[in-house]
Amino acid sequence: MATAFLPVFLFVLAGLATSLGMLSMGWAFGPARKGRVKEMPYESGMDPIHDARRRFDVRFHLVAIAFVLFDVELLFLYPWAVANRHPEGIDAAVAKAGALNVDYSRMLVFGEVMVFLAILALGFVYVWRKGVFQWR
Amino acid sequence: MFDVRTLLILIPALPLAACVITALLGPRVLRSQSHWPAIVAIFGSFVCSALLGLEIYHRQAEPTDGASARDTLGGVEVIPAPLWTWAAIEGAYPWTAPSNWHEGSSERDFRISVVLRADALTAMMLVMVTFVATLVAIYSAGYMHGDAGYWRFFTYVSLFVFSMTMLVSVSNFLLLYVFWEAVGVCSYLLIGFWYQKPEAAAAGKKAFLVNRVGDFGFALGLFLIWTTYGTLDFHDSLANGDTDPVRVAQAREELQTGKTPADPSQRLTPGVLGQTLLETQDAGGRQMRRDWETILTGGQGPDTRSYVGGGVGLAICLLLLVGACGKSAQFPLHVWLPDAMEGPTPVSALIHAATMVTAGVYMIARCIPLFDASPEAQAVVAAIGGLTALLAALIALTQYDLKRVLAYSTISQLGYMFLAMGTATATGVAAGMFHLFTHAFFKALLFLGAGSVMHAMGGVIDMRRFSGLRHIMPTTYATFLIGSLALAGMAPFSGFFSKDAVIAAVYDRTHDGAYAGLYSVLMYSALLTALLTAFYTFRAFFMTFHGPQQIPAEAGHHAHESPASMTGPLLTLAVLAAIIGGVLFVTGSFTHFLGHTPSLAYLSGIAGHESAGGHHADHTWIAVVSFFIALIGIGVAAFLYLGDQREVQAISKELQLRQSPRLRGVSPYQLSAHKFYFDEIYDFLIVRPMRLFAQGTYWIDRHLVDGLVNLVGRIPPALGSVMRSLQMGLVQFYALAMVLGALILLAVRLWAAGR
Amino acid sequence: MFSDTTTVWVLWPEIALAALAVWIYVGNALFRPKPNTQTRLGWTTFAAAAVAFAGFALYWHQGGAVWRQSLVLEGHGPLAIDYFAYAMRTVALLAGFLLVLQASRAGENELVSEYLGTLLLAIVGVMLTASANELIFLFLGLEMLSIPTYVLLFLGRRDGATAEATIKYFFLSVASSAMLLYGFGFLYGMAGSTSLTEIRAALETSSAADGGLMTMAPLALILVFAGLGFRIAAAPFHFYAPDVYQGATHANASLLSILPKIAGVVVFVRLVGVTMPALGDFAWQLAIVLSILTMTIGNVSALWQTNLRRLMAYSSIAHSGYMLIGLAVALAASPAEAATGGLSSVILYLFVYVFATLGAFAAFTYLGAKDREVNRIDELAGVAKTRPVAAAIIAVCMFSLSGIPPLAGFWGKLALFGNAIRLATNTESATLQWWFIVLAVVGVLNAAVAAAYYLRIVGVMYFRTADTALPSQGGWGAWSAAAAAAAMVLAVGVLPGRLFDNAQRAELAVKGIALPEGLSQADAPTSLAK
Repeated sequence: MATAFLPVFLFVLAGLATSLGMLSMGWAFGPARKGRVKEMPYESGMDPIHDARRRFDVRFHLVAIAFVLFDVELLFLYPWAVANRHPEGIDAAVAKAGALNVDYSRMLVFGEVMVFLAILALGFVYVWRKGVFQWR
Repeated sequence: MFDVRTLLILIPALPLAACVITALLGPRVLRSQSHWPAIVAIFGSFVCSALLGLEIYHRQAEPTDGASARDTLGGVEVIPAPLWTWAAIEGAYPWTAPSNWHEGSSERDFRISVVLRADALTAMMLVMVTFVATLVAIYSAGYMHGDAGYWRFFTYVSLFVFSMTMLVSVSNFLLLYVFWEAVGVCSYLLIGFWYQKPEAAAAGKKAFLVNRVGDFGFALGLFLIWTTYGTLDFHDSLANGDTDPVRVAQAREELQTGKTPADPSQRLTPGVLGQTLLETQDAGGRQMRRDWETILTGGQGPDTRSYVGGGVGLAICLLLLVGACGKSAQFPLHVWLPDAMEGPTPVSALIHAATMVTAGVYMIARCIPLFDASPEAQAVVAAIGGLTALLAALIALTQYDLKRVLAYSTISQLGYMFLAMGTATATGVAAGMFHLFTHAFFKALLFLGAGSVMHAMGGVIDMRRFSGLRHIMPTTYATFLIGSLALAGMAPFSGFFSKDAVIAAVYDRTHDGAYAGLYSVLMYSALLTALLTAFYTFRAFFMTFHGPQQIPAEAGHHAHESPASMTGPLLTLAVLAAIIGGVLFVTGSFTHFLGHTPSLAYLSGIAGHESAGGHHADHTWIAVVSFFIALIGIGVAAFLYLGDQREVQAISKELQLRQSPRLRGVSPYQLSAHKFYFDEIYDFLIVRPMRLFAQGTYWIDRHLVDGLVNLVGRIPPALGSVMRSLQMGLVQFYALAMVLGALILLAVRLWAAGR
Repeated sequence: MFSDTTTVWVLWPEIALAALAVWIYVGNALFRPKPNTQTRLGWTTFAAAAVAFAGFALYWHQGGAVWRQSLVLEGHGPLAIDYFAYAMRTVALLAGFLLVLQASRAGENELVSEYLGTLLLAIVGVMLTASANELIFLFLGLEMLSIPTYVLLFLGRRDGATAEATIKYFFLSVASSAMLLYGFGFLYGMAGSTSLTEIRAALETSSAADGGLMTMAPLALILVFAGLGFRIAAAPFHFYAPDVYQGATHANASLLSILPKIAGVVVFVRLVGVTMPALGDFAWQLAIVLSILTMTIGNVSALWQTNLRRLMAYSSIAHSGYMLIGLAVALAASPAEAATGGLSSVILYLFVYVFATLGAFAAFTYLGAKDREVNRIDELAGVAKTRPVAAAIIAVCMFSLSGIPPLAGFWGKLALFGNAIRLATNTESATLQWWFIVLAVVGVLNAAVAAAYYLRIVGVMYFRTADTALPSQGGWGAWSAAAAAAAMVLAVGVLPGRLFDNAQRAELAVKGIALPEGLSQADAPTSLAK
């Protein structure tokens, strides 16, 4: 019993070692410059002038977040595009489903992707109407 | 004609709806119009009851065919209206079936089905209750006018009518008990309606506590019925709670022919008052019943009765009797009813004269087959009834409070009804119910009349403070006279016929059978009571309405006849009090109608119809004697209380035994005036020892038990304060705790596995 | 494995609800980016109608079929379409409807569409979790609940306490999701499949032949307990609850005490109660230990609380402990045995708990105002005089939570303790007896302790006089939600039979046991329209 858990403990140990190692290496080898700006908790241009427990204005990040979102969209579209014509892609999956007597078709796949795109488009409309793209 | 089941459900549903509406809308919307929902709903309920009664009457006249013929067995009509199952605990009753019934043993479920049930007895009670309640509600609209709790009053009255109609229509001992308590609660609420008055609050409490004693007995009786019969239902049903008459009839047939249903849930569960146990009707009935007995008692032979007799039977009956004594104010639990007169007078008329207090009589009538199995129980019922009747009449002789005179007379008349129940013959029970029926009208009339007087006299009810009111209040005077004549048993008013029927029924038991001697004593005591009744009734009547006109100061300018909303019900009731007894007696329809109740049909089935028809002729002398007795009573009252009161003074002085001061406390006059010292005796024997005991236990509880409990009670908060210190608000710690928790669990698992 | 058209067909109430939620975001952004009170009313009505529509759609479309259990996919799809899933989806929609009503004035006007849309998505998350029969789908359902919950917590109020509470919840929730996923990883590794049906089969076949990868099963179980224990706030994963509840608004606290609880219990039932009984003694012993720990910590800590939401948080923790009793019963009874009542009592208890808690929170919401919430218990003093109906609702809910008959809570506790004791009396194994008797005794003691703080609230309302009147501006929505929940509690209390039947049916369904003759023929709603 106990031996079976050995890999688990090894895993835990390895995880701990990795994280601690990274921290300690950074501490040991990293340049340690000190200064008022460097010691600020938030280095990205926001002045920490108030209590940390408040909702801060994310205007600065909004565009970045929107970009990340639509970037992810592309990530999902790539595999679809590849699988579309690939011999082991959608056609193979539809055939396999047919063998299992499951109602699955190319149109369903297409529909699913379109729903995905529609949701993203709605998200675009939403952020647009909320004025995210207006730079002040 | 009408769907009987719908009617049966509508009858309680309408007052319940009125109760809810009045409670919700009364304080803000309806205000001084709060009587409308109650009056409309109770009247609607009365119409439904009347239709129901007619329908049942028609069915009796011409036994129907088709599906409803299965409802009718031997002319006995039972119409179940199942609503829902309230509780079902499977296999609660370990029960071994007789060898010739079904294979092996089986269990019975504890199943409380909410089933309403219409038969002649229920219909009669429903008509009576809703009719009197309608009139009382109309009367109250005038009587309670301007009271601060106007809407509250009508809420309670509607709730009471709902509970009372449910009480007489449910088909189960447990639900009977539930609504038995419900009417008790309504009674408590209405006695203490003017809760600002300390007497009213105390009277409410007293009524409630005394009734608890009775209810305790009733509850024990229920437990015993459950352990003895394995069901609390009145009606036969299938083991799965189905009451459909067609399927039940099938199951009965299967039982009779010894077939075993494939499905255990289709087996028959004979109700305590169901057809299976009651089956005695047709010519072959005797034999058939023996067969049933053999089956039901596990083949112990035909001598065994279908109802359990002996010690257990006696115990069941006596416990039920205790309950009935509490609700119907019978000796020794009668002490609450006179005090209950602190409530508003319409309430006294409705609850404490006409309806709720008759619930005990109704219950005994309903369970009369159980009493039939135990002659000792019958004798006890009769003895208690007779004793209470006499005792209450003696007390009523010397009371000066008009409502209290009526209260004691109610107790006394209820005693008559119990006496009639105690005969446990078909004619006796029918006579008792007949008396209950007529009594409801004339006693409600008298109470409402007293209320009218009280209304005019500004709340004064002491008869020494007013007199000669016949010119001021002519309508009240006339109607009160009719009510008094009926109560006194004067021919041809209704009380005459019903009281005569009760005495005749007792007379029938004096010839032979068990306890014949006791019954003859009781018969003579009943005749004596009749004399006293006539006397005290007319004593009160003469003191109030005759003599020199005298009005107390409280009345002020209000000493006038009551408004039409109050005199209207008085007149209606007066007409009925005058004629209903005669009409029903002469046509014989009441006894015939009621005879179709299963419980009563059972009695006449046993008696083999031997006394049917002929008994009117046999008892002519009783009618004559009681007529003259009433006449004598009225005459003596007239002699003593019309005109000069010297004789009264003289007699009371004589009775006070002034010569021997040591005996003054127990002189007949003092005994009567002080209600035979019941309150004092109870105070000394029960209240004071209980108070001492309570003080003792209070000390123990305060110092020993509480100390221990407090000690134990400190443990959880102490634990909690330890836990509290962990809740430090640091999210890092929380995350660590989660991970550590998981790791500890894992470690324990490893340790346990390695062990 | 495939999300075929049947999946879409079955899930269309969820899909419709999600689409309507999206429409709330986008529609509001298109027409009136800065809503006012009127638009707020409009969108609240729209959201309530959307939930109601989803509910009716579910009922008319699938009610009859799952009632008769004629629509059960054979385990290989990502969905479990059985009466249990149907019942839990219904409960989620019922609770969701009341939550929408309750939130009719919560939060800020400008963000009303965000609040309502996100709330709807959270409900969708619970519903998806209820249908999941596959690890990935299950996890997605849970995240579909968690992520909207973070947003909702933020939207509640604009102050430091709320932000702190939200951040705490966010971090800890992520940590718990990680543990849950870790556990899922082990399960997948052992069974080679993400389908719960196949995992169950793999666990059952391997429990006979001890060894190999399967020895990891207890580890997976612990991790699953850790992940789900956070959702239902079971010790030692409960620490977040008091802080987060206290920082949230009443509306959000009620959401937190209800939606994750439903989802967590659903997954506990399906993933642990049904899939893992093959794990043997360890599973039920773990459930018992956590149950005892959870209810004791919850109840004794609640005794000290003066903050209403903090108290309710501990109450929520304690009730999770009670529900674990039923889980332990289900795990301890031998798998072959048909209906042990363990799972059905959990389902029953969940239902009862959800509505009593919701009623109390909605009444608190009603009694407060947007800028002045009822925070301390003392503030409830004299409510019985000033707001008698709200006080009565709170009292009913408190009595139910403490399990006083004849309210719904009594039947819940009766079912749980009754089944635990029945198991203890029916078993041969002395160990089992001992454990369950201890469990039942601790449970009953806890119930007694719990009564103290619930009744204290009632006592404050009824026996103390008010210093200042409460604003009572939570809106009619909150009032009617509270009243509906209290009515439900009363109705179930008076007529528990139907609920018992349904819970039993759900247990049979989730275990894949054919219905007995009498049950399957019972009156069904309309059939599947396909």
